Amino acid sequence: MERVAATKGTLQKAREQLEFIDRGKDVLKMKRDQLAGELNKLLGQLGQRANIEALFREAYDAVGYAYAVLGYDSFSSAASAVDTIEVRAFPTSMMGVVMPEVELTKKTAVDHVPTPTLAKAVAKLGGAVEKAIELAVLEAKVERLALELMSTNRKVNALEKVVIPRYKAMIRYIEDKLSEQALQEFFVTKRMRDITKVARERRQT
Amino acid sequence: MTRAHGLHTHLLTRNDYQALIKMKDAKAVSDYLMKGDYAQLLEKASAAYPGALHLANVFRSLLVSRCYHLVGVAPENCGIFIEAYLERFLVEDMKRILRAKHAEKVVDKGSLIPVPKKYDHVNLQAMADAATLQDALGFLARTSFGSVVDVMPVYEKYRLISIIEARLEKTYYDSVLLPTLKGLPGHATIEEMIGTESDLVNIGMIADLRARRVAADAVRALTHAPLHLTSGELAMVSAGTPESIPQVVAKTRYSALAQPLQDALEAGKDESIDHLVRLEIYRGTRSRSVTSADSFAYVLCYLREAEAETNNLISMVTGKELGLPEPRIQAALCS
Repeated sequence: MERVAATKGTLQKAREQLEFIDRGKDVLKMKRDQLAGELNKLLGQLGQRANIEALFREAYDAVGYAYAVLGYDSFSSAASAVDTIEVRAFPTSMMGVVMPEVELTKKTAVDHVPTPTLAKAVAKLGGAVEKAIELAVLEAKVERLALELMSTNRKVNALEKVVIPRYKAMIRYIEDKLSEQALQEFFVTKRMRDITKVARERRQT
Repeated sequence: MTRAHGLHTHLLTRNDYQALIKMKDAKAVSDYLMKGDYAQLLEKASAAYPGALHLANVFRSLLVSRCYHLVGVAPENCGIFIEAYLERFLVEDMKRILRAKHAEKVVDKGSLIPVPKKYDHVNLQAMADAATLQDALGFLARTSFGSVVDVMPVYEKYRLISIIEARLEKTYYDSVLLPTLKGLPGHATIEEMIGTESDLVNIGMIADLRARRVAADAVRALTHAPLHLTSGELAMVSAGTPESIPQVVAKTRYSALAQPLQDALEAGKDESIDHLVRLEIYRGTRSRSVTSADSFAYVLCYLREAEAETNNLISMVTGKELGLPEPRIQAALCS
């Protein structure tokens, strides 16, 4: 326990600080519960990763088949008409956690692919890429939320296990010191009164 | 016709295909081809395996030299027909150039079919160097494909390069190929074959564009003159929705195409309209080459089989290079 001045002022200040820290701990606990709830919701959606891998395998197969039907140069020629996907990335905030959000502003225009064989492959590949973008955003959100949850948990634990007990001990120490001081003052006063009384009686006799 | 019979013996046989498809990789396919017509071109290509893209160029070079060789040796009216028939190579090259212009990308001149300069009536090099799609189309103005520019308003409305490609096909069949059929020896058989091809291409194009939500009247305007289908049938197919087109086709002489067409129009299935049309044309050719062995139609069969061989070899080496399983490569072949 670090040395603190055992005064009533310090005790008052320490009690106020403990109350403030206690309220802060409750807020952090609420934040932790909220983050855990959100994380649980998102974790459920992470299961789609297996589906996306299957989609990519299918798309790879379709693209390979289109290559085989058309040959590399016909494939490239037809593929030149495919517009690129465009996305807009922006940050959002949840309980103070900055999370990425990606909006697909331009999808794969399958209609623009001049060769039906390639159009089918593009449809599959485009679908898989769009899902992969969704998954990447989801995984990034989970990562950020998990980090924030860990940090919040550490803060709550630190408050519960270290800071609050320390403040409580300090308050107890100050209280003990103050009551010790009060007892000492009471004893000194009583002794002084007794001494004064004895001295007065001696003067009278 | 005699030359075509002689040249036909140079084409790969069914046994060759069976052996090729079992090869472990694309290099083995390339090594196998060192025995035949491809040997000289492959030797020139590289001692090591040059890659599927380079091999495809070798296969196309041989196809072009095989086909245009016939133009030179055929009697005059037959030569005109063969030359007109082979303008499909020009059409394919024009499509590639226009796709690149549509996408505002640089044309890869190495990927064009090497049509001999003598037969390049549209100046492909200049088209490829043109700055814009409009400029490229401008080079067609004084050629048989000059009317393609008329389709620009429809293209502008939908922004689909497939519309210009369909118009090129229409011009090819209506203005380039069909006028050369008259007076050919075995005219009826040739007309039957070209008519079937034209109808199949029409059906494929209609189904494809309707699936892309192009209006029925715009699609109808892009169809070639029907040879076997009636105008009414063609109008009905054009007016159909992607879902109803197979049922309409089922009521025509191409009823066998209805089910595969339905499969090709389904998003989840691998079959595609362009490959289906190619397969149907090739299947018809194979049976015709047996029944018309003593007529000029045999020359057309040879040209188509040579074209199918090139496509098959490209599919084979590309599939092998990508490590596709045998059934997938088999499905990509015209056989």
